[in-house]
Amino acid sequence: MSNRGEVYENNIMSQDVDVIKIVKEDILRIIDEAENKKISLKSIKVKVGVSEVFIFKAVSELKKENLIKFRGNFIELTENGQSRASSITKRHLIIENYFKRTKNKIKAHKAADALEHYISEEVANNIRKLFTLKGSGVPLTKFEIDKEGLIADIMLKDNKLSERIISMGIFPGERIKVINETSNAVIVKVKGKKTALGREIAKGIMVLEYERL
Amino acid sequence: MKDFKALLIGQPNVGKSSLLNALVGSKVIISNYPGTTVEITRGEKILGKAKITFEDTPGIYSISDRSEEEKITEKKLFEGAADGAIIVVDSTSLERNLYIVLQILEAQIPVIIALNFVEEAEKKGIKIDHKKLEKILNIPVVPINPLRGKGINELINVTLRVKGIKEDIFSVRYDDDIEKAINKISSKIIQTSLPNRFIALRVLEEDADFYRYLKNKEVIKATKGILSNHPKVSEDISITRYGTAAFIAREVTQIIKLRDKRGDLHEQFDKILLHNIWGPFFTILFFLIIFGLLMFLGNLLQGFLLNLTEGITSYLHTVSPSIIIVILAQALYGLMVGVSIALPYVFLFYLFLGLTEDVGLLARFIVNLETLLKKLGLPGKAFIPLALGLGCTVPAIRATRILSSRKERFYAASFFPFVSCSSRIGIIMGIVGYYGGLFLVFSVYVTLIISALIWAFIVKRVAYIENQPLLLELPSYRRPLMENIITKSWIRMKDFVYLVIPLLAIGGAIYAVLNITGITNIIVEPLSPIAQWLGLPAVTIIPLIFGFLQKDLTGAMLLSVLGSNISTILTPLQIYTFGLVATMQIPCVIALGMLIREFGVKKAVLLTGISIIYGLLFAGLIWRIISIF
Ligand SMILES: Nc1nc2c(ncn2[C@@H]2O[C@H](COP(=O)(O)OP(=O)(O)OP(=O)(O)O)[C@@H](O)[C@H]2O)c(=O)[nH]1
Ligand SMILES: [Mg+2]
Repeated sequence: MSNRGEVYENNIMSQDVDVIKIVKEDILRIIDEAENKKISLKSIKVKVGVSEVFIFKAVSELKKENLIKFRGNFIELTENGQSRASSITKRHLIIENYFKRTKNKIKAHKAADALEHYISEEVANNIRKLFTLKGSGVPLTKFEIDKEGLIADIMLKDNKLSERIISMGIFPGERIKVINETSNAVIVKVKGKKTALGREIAKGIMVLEYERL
Repeated sequence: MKDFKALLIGQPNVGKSSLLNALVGSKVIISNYPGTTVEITRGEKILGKAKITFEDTPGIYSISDRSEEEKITEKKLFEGAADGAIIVVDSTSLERNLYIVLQILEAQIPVIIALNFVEEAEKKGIKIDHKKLEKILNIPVVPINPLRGKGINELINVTLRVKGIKEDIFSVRYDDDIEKAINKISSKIIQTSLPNRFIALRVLEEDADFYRYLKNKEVIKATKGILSNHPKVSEDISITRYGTAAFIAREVTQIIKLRDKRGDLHEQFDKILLHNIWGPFFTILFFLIIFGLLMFLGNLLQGFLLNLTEGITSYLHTVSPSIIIVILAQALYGLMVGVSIALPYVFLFYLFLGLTEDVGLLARFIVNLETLLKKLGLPGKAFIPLALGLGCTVPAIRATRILSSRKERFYAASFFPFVSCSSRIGIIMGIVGYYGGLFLVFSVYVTLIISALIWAFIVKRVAYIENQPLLLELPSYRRPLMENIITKSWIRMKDFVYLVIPLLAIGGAIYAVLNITGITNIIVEPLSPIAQWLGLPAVTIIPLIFGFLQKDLTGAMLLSVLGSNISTILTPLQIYTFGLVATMQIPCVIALGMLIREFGVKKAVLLTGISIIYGLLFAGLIWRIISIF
């Protein structure tokens, strides 16, 4: 993900995305994943890979919000910060996977050359958007009709059902729109295809509002 | 050259059946809703010395079956010893369709991609570089249009060149932990024709159907350690697979942002047609209109045909009456009357059904009637077999395969006594309506509905049937092709032509023989208590018995035993009762045969027996109740 920095900078100019917010969440996650759960500012700079201005701003904001604390040269999570980071990490597990796969692919296949390029495109943007938005979204049944949403998570107990939903194109990071609701079903449009989802299923699909994109 | 067997695989409603028809000539029914095909159909193509067998299959979204029809496809794929799979792919949603491609490649089955809906995609501004797709996946990709016959020859040529699975086809790589777990499980798999990696993945995806390939189940527990940071492994696997599909799709697709005006318009349609209140309202209105048209146009056609029949048969009566002539005349009469009563309704209904299917309405009706069906304890999808049942009960019984559990299927099938097939529509409209008027037709239908509600009420008391939640892709609205509707009606009416028409003639002849020999009385006599219970003349037992063999015989036999001035012989109440008792049962021996095939002898006989008794009881009670007033 070497071009991440670029992406952030591009975003400032081209899209109205709150970069600081993204960087802040990234930092929390990086600390959470670090050995002994602490990390130096220098390493953060290397890992996040955006310009220093953003990092300083993000760190000072995190400090102000009492999410991180300094201990010598290292930064650690506060109790609040830890719980925040855990939820981010959990929420991102799916997406981590998505990215991890691409790394292996580079070794595995010629076609993977373009993967990094792919990351910087829409889906990655959407996925990154998931990092920045608060909470893990609302169930589809509670989502407003005609608003654009972003699928954040699929939380269904039945594995076969989850796979079926995914194979029908209802996938985290994908845009979704509720067209209609009946007493038993929610009718959604994903990638131009419409699907009727029973309420029991719709309840397990978490959606975030797709604002400003 | 060796024979080649290719399976036509793909997600539902992507054009597999259309492709089979394009490859080998019209054979199977094509409709614009997911779940049209519920059985395997074979078609052969002979090219010089080579023979390719193509097999159309029910659509699958992925290798995780949720209904019987999907199991059929999976069985074919993994146990059917096919030489390869032609996967039909919808270009308008490439990434989703590549999911099943990647999954089948994991099973190391040689694959050819047939890229369908290329023009539709281009209209939406989606352009697919099929050469690049071919390169990435390292499998052949052929753009096709089965409706116009484009790409079909090339597809055949490519199929002939397929020789086993290539070494370096594309395969999805999962993250390190999952890969480790795959290896671990792979080493504990018994010898099979399926690749270990594929089985390991299915096991990790918790597909219990594949556990039987494991040497022992301990290994599942052992992998839990490796996968400690994957709380939902199976979902991570699907997501990675989908992510890879999405990546490939993105790589080969060029999107020109066009405003999808048609899509926006169709969305507006759906806002109304799937509206919580308007939706069910329009659906019911739609069926009322169809039935109104059936009644009106059907009666018109029937009148014309019956007049023709009278003309011809009255001429025969003037010929010297030898026994042979009498039998022949009766056979001809049975045939012509039967055709006059049944054909108009059967034919018209299939025309309407075909239109409804191909426009894309049928699938919408599922959503609209789901609430209603749920009250009966049926899942929304049961609407498909029930709607098809208005045409013919036999394929409708088979269509219950789209439901999830056997219990759900059998329960849905138990409603066919109340869902009048077009032959029974012939009785209701061609006998009850033609001789008794619109009000009686209406009454019969209302009674059928009430009796179905009572049936559901009783069954729900004694059995618990769990319904799966609705999950249904809504097909795009399409302009129906008249050619397809006619072809499809023909396929559906084949039985009528080849089976019913001879039966009508034979039935007529048998009736003449029974009459001449006096056997009629021997049959009618012992059964007269039944006629009495129903408040009908004893002879009407004859059409009822013939009717059990084949519903189209009922009308013909009734006219044979009573003559054509039924309205003066039977009272309106008797016409109504006859209509009711003749329709409220499993309609014919062919349907019984299909029940046996799908559910076994015991259940089939049980359902048929109960339906006859229920119908007799109900009809007998109703006329008594009405007589009181
Ligand atoms: N415009 C267009 N429509 C097509 C094409 N191929 C198929 N269709 C339509 O797509 C719909 C589905 O076709 P089928 O052949 O029944 O699809 P299937 O894959 O067999 O569907 P299931 O049996 O339900 O899995 C029908 O309405 C066809 O007329 C095509 O190339 N162009
Ligand atoms: Mg089909």
